Amino acid sequence: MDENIRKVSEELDSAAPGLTHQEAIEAFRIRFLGRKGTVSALFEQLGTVPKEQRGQIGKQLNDLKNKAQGLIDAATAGQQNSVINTRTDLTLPGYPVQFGKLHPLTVVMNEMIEIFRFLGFSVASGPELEHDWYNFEALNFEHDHPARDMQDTYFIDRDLLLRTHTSPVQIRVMESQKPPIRSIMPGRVYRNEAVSARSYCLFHQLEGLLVDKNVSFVDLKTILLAFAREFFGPQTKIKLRPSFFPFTEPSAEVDVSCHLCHGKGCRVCKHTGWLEILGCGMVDPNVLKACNVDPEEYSGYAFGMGIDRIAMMRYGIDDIRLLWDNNQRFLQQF
Amino acid sequence: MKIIYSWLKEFVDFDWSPEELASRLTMTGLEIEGIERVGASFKGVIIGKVVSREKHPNADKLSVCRVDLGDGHPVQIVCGAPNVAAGQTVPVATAGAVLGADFTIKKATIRGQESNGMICSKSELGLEEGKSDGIWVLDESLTAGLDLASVLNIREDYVLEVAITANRGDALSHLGVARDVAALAGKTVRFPDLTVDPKYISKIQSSEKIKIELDSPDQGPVYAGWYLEGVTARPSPEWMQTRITQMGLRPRNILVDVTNYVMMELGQPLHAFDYDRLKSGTIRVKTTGPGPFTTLDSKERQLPDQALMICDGNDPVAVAGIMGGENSEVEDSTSRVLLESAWFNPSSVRKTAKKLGISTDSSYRFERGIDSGLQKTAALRAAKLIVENTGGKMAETPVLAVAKHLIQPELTLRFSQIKRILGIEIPKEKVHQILDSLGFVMIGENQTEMMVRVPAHRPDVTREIDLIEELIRIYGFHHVPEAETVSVSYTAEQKSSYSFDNKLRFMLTGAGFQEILCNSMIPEKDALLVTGKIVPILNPQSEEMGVLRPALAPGMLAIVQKNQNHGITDLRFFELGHCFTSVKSDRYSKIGNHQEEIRIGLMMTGQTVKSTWNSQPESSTLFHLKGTVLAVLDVFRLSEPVTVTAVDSEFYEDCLVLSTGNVQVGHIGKISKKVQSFFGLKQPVFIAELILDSLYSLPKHQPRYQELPKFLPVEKDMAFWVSRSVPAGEMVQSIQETNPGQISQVTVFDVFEDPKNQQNQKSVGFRMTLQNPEKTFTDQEIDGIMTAVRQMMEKKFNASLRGG
Ligand SMILES: [Zn+2]
Repeated sequence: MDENIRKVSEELDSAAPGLTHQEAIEAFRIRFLGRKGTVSALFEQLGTVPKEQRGQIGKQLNDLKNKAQGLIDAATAGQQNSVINTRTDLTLPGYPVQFGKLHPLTVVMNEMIEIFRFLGFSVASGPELEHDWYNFEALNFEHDHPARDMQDTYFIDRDLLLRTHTSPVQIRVMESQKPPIRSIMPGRVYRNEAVSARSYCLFHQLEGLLVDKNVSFVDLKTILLAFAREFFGPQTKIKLRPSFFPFTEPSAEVDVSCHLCHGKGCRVCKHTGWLEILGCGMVDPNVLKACNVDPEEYSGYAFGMGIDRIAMMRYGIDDIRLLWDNNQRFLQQF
Repeated sequence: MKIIYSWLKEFVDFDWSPEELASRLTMTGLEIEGIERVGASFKGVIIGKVVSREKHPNADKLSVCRVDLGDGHPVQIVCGAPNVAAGQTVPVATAGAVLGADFTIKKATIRGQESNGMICSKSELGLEEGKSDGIWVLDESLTAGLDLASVLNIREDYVLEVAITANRGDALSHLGVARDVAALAGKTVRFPDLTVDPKYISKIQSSEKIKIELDSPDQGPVYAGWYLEGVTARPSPEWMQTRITQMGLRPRNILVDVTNYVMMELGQPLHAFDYDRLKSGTIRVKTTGPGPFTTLDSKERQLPDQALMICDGNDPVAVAGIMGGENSEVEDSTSRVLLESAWFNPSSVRKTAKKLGISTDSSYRFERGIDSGLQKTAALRAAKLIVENTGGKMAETPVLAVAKHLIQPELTLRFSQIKRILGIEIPKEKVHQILDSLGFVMIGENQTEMMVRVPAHRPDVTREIDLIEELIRIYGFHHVPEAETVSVSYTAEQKSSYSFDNKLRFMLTGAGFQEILCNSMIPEKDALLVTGKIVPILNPQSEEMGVLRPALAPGMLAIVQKNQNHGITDLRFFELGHCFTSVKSDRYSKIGNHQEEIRIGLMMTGQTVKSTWNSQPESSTLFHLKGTVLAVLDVFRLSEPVTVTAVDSEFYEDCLVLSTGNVQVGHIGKISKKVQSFFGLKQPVFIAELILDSLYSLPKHQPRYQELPKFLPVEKDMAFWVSRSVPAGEMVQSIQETNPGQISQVTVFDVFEDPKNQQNQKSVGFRMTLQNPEKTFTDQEIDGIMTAVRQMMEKKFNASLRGG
């Protein structure tokens, strides 16, 4: 036993100079003081030592243990000092701080909101669970009219539904506020459409509404061009095509010159040079009437766009489902 | 809907290429989604008769033929097809003919034999995909020398796919699209020929053969019938079949094909009844009760109540405007026909079609509103096409029943309104030209306004604003300029949560939380883990999206699991979103009150601090999340303090409820083992949800400056042995209360349990910051405070000072 203790003590001495870094110290601790370490093993053999020698051997073992611990303590202290005392290795990496990121849809949405706030619009919001009145009726969607087929609707009951567009917030704003009104309404909307790479059953819209005296299509076109140039770049052009939305008249689709190819044609714009991103029009007199605004005194314009499609175009995302999978490695890219 | 280029040209003159037509129509609101080239692309191919066929002297697989091209002087042509034979009638591409885009046929000498053209196969003419088996052998009745394309009416043509918006029922025909083209081109629309050779007209009047009774004048106010006899259900002529095929329908027989042809031409849906299968001599248009009815597609359908039906006396024979019945449909043996051309109420047709779950070309048009003045004309056009092509006779007059006259509105257009809405003036002559070519009738005009009558084909135009839209649609939005300046009348910015929402977002991303967006529609079984008060969707897309989320947690956990499957296990997420619960406890009640609230959810799992070359990793715990959540709550500056109470929960194993006053503002928890295994998660997950609606509406305080202490604070540590069951939070609060105004802060710096300690005790160390704004403490005062704390701890918590 004496012999064994002396041997281990020598091993301690020879291993001591190697205690120059954390891993070595830890390996040293496990080798000698760990549950299966050599010192611990000696303690276990203590039972086999004759009774009369046990006190003596026990003391030797305790000394050995203390010696090992002392070496560890000294090396650890030296470690801590070494960072300060010896010349620091500045190539070591900094301690990582990982910020979270905003979801790409929030990034795009915020950017749009900031542009419109700069142009004098307030942000308004409304519920996602809506009444038929706000989502359709007040927006001049007649009952039993094919216009209702334009938007596949999720129903909760006969009256309640998941809003199919952010337009019901237009009605809520006009109910709670007298003109002049200048609002934008960002939010989540729902359509009962099969999920694929190109379409999802919910998406985000940003809609704008301005009601005042003497508002005309010229004002609408002006604000849309201002937005397009802020968002897509100063060279951007816009083109309006007549279209149909029940709540605006006249209505138009707005094409924006492709910011990737500058109108020359590329894959993203399907070689047309134009991107279809926006719908707009003058607020239909029926909508103003539904909100007790006199269409002879006031006129207004409204516009709306889908955030998700614009975000996909901007970041080159080819599958809309990626936006909803929330894979950390995807989200960290924005 | 499809529009055929050559067919459109029959209605209006224009010289635009298909591409130019497409872009112009798109700019008037008829968006062209695609152009398909159809028909044959060949020129100069004529019909020939093979007079003789000899083997080529120098080539085994070639033949030398003499072919008559109609001038009686057969020419020599070398042909490689195995099936060529004397006596055949064949298509011949003579020298100068062009196949496909640019393959011009020339005279040639093939292995020493002169060849004056080429005998063609179907694929060589572009009429068949792939390679044909041999040359195309034509009907021998065809005359040699005639141009193949004109004989077969196969020529190069274009089919335009038009997206018609829901308001433009008038554009669902070639005639309708032609009106827009005419308005654009400044031309007038040509109506199809309606004159009938007298040899096809009988002395009979339709009214002698059938009576019409309109029992439901609101739903079915106009009905025209035309009686035809001696007709046969033979195949339609080649040219009509070609167009019907190009429009995407299958040709059947002329009686059916003509009804489709005229519908696509003029926009009026028609139906042909086999007259001999009608028994009563009276057509009654009326609403009926529910019951079974077999439509002509041999499907038995359950009629909804109040469906408008066409009845033979009392027996239904067609669902008005939607589909005919099997019991009266034309058959191969049909020789007498009653043609129906009617106007039905759009919303009545729509309701019935929706309830039956069918949409036909006919119902699609009726729903969108057809021309209410076209019934007689369309019936005449169809009758003419049938008798001219089958040799039967049509009654001299139709039978026309009108229960209610549909009035064409007269509208006033104020010129000042054009400027007010569009911001530009449109020259008056341009206004006249546009409205005129679209069919509006001028009935008066003065300096400031004009009055027009709306044509019957534009039921969507009912107001002045609709006229203004028609004007700008044709005139063009490119005439509307952008202004130089954006001027706005001042209004204060309306309050919204936008800015604060973003503040929260930026704080949390700074704290390492990643923003996610989850589906608001989740599986019912996931939602039930949270609450029974869920909101189901009546028409969900799938079970996976059956109910609205009652909380953010289930969606977040599903995302944690997806990431875990990708080997990503150290996560911190947040989401800001709407949650929905049913206020009634009966979750299956169909009509109930629902509550929608906006929440922010936070989630932590896995390592929250990664190991570095100089430090150990740290795993997320409830206390990491608790610290973050309370820091977030602090930003709200609520007037009332936030209290944290431990509660029992099924979803969470350890759960804390956050409230201020008596308003619950959120909770923090470690998900239970049950929930963890439900989502298949390998490690503990911590979730907090805050109810933003409540937090935004609660009273806030404005910070007021407090004078900074002039004297240094003193920090004192004390540790106690105390029973394990005493909550640290209570002790902290009690210590604070022992010496009001003197202990400014108490924190817990150390907690441990000695495993050898048999009394179930723990040691808790407190760090107290002593601060008196007025003066520095004397040692005596400090001892006094510490003694007071010790005595309170002993008395209240049965604690003993550690090492004391
Ligand atoms: Zn492009």
